[in-house]
Amino acid sequence: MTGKKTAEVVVIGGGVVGSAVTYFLARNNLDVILLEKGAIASGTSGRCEGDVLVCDKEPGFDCRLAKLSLDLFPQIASELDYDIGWTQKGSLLAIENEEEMEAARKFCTQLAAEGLPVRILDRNEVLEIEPNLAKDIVGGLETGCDGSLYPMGLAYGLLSDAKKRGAQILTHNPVVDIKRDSNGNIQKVIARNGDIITRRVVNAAGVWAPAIGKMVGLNIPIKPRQGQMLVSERTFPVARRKVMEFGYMMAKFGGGSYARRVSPEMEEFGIALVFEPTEAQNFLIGSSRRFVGMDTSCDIRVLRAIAERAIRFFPAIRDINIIRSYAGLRPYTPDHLPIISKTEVPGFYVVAGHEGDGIGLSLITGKLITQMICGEPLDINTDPLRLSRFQEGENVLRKETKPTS
Amino acid sequence: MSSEKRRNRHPKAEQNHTFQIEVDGKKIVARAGQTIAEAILDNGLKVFRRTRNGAPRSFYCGMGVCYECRMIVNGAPNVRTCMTPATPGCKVVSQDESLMKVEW
Amino acid sequence: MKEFDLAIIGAGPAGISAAVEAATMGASVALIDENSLPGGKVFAHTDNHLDPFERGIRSQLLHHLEKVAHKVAVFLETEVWNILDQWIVSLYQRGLSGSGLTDIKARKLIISIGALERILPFPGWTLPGVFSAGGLNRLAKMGIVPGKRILIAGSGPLQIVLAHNLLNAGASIIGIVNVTSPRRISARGLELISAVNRLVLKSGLNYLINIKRHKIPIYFSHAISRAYGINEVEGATIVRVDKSHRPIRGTEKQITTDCIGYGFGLIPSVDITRLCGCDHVFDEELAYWRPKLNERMETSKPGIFVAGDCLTVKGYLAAIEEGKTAATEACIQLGFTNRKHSGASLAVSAKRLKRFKRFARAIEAVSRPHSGLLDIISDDTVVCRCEEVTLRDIRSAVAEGARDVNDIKRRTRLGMGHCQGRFCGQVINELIWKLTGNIGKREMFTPRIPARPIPFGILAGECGS
Repeated sequence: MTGKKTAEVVVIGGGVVGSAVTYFLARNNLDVILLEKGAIASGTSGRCEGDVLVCDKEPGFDCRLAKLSLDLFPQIASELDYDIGWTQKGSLLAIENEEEMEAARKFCTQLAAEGLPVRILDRNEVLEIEPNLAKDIVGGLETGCDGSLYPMGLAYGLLSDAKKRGAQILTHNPVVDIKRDSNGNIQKVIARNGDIITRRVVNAAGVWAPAIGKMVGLNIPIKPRQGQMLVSERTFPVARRKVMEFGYMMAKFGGGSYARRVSPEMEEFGIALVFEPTEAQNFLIGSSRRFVGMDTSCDIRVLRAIAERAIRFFPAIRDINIIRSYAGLRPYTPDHLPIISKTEVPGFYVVAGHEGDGIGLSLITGKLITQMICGEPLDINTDPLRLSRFQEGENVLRKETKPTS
Repeated sequence: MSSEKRRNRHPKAEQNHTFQIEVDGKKIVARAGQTIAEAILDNGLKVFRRTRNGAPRSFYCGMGVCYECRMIVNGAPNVRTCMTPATPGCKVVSQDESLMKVEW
Repeated sequence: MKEFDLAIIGAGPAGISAAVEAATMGASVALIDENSLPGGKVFAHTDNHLDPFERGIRSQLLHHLEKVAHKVAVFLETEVWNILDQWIVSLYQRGLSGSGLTDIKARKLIISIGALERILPFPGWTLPGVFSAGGLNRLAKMGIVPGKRILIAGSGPLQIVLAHNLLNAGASIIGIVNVTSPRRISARGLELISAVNRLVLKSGLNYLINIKRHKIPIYFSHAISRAYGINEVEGATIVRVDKSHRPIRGTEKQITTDCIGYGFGLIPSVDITRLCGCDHVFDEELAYWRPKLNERMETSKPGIFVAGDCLTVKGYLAAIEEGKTAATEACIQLGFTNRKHSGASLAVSAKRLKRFKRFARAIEAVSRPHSGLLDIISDDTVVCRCEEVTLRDIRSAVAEGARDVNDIKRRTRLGMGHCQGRFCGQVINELIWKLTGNIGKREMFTPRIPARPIPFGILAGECGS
């Protein structure tokens, strides 16, 4: 596809976030071109689970942003002419001991104050809902509104809609450079298969966002944070919906006072149980966290630790087969919040750095950036998500960076 | 010559040690040395399981790669019957994989 | 962790022969096989179905293995699911009397896991009663005949072996359908006859005579275009094919059958060599992927050797020779022998192997299915058996812009099931090229741990069973 093209907006990155941006821009009648260096959803979006959660968000801004996004899913899912496998069955945080239970009750109160449908379950209740949980689990925190879907399907569905509204999707077309004029305004995007003249670029390139940012002289502090997953064979249901462990979150948000009773390896690899039943009759098990650059190969020690942690919570899976493992790279920022922001480069926007929440936050991201570009009022104040916050050195949020969190 | 007679002339038929196994509630005869799949096929049964869309499936590759022959054996699902020896009294059930979903 | 000089994965004729050779030279050997008996596809079970020549080979193999039993630890009902540098082999022991070991360490590896069926989907191929040729062959060798009117279809010498074993088991075979033409076979005929081992040829001729004696109709230049039935196969349509194996409309024939043995020969099983990161090449003449080797039977990963049908499909006599060669080369690296000492026997093996390799190439040339057969696949035909992905699903994905194997996989779930693309992966590239009208780069699915399904408990480090 050579030759010059023009667009009102060029979106770089064909993952779920880039697809959501393209969807909303196209719905707002903007002339959009999406550039993807490989195939749609072939990056992080093709190596994740399909989470749309509020249960693991910090009360306050984090939670509010996530809820806004979650609330967009049911309608959009029903409108897309593509089956994205959207279900909204809620989620469960499994509580391992009394110390966690105390913290969970507090957390529950905070989430309830945000208007979320949450409740604490005691041991009997949690085992009734999830009979395959280990019998020593003391209870659970249930979040009724959480949902899940097929992440690649979401990207395909959103883009199918955008294409109908005139968006052009150019895959297998990496961006080589971005040219600006003498005033510093964006002039054109140079892609392998040709140039695109535009004044606006949305950088939705996930773990590749820093490389795109460099093209316009911006420093985008996103680091790839690897997570590994195990895939089970299709089998009879083990859990009815998403189950995670509360202890990990408590350690993450708790300011260092709580430590789970786990092996040093579990801490080193950031292992936290995530159990996700899928529409394909199997389940995905995670999760882990390591900084290993752009490596998407699986380390057996990490896989082993994930399996161990999963068996601790669901002993029955001992005899169920794993058929595959894979690893994805979360686009991590130092304060665990994404960047949804205009920048000091006129016309250049960044929507990246969603870490493990890209699927869930994709829709609000697309909506907000569209509002930003079109000068419409924003659904939420995006100040905490501005790119410049990293230069300012302020710690806008309470989420502190720990080496293993 | 009937195929039954011909089959009994086969050297394999020397293994006269037989026992019973249960398949979908029905008692069938297995011979020593047979896998569960072999015992099932030897008894003229062919449908081993149903896919999530209800399609009937059976033993295919015979070497443990395709997993088409998977059945519930003594309560454990997804057992490759082509790789599992038949044992006296073992209970084998076809998997109806349309049931492998959560009921809400 | 228990340590060995050499770990051999796969105890068929190549593996056994390698184990015997290495142990005789003084190496400590671990011989691993997923079945409950050593011997591989041809020799694992009792030898009543084998002819005298094969029976002799079997007893030789097992006898030699017995003689070095003190130096060879045999792990049966054991599957290898991961291999780490250099070299830790992860084991999944299914059997009740497992050794309790989860990993072993070895200085050198020989991979001799054999071959896999080459498939090509056709409408109705997933019906109960449609078996792979190899699968049906195994049943026949056990004296089991799962049908009263058996049809053999596809191509390759396995058809002859299958027919023979079925007849021995008392089966009634109503036809052999082969895509190859007699002209093509006879064109390579001299090559085949000159390259084949005399005794194998004798066996083969005996099988053919047996087939002729039973007056089994043989349909050359024909293929199955459809199998039909409600819960089981009840009949099939066969059709004449042209030189590129394209079906010739109007030549369809209905055949009543309740059991079909279907396959297009064998291809090397490359899952273990791929997981190890060895380089592979798609051999255009043989029409399959195989590991790249240097002249020392070594893969691109130093210290990993390959022998037998998982390298190129040549039969058990070549496998025995290659096993010996690979073991010798491994032992040279280990220091149990040197090139001066073993040079002569290596040269003898190399000479024998040259002939087997010619035979293998000639066999493939007359067995391989050509792209015309893809026309038989209808929109409703299941292409990925595990996930029930049809040609229609693949066509939609291509229409949405998918051009590569992984894009098809993400959109349709093709290759995401139990077999992880071992079957559908054989045809997906050709199907994409056909649908896009563009021949692209041939790809395979990325190999991942585990090499084959293992229970969560095994990964977590618990012992088997």
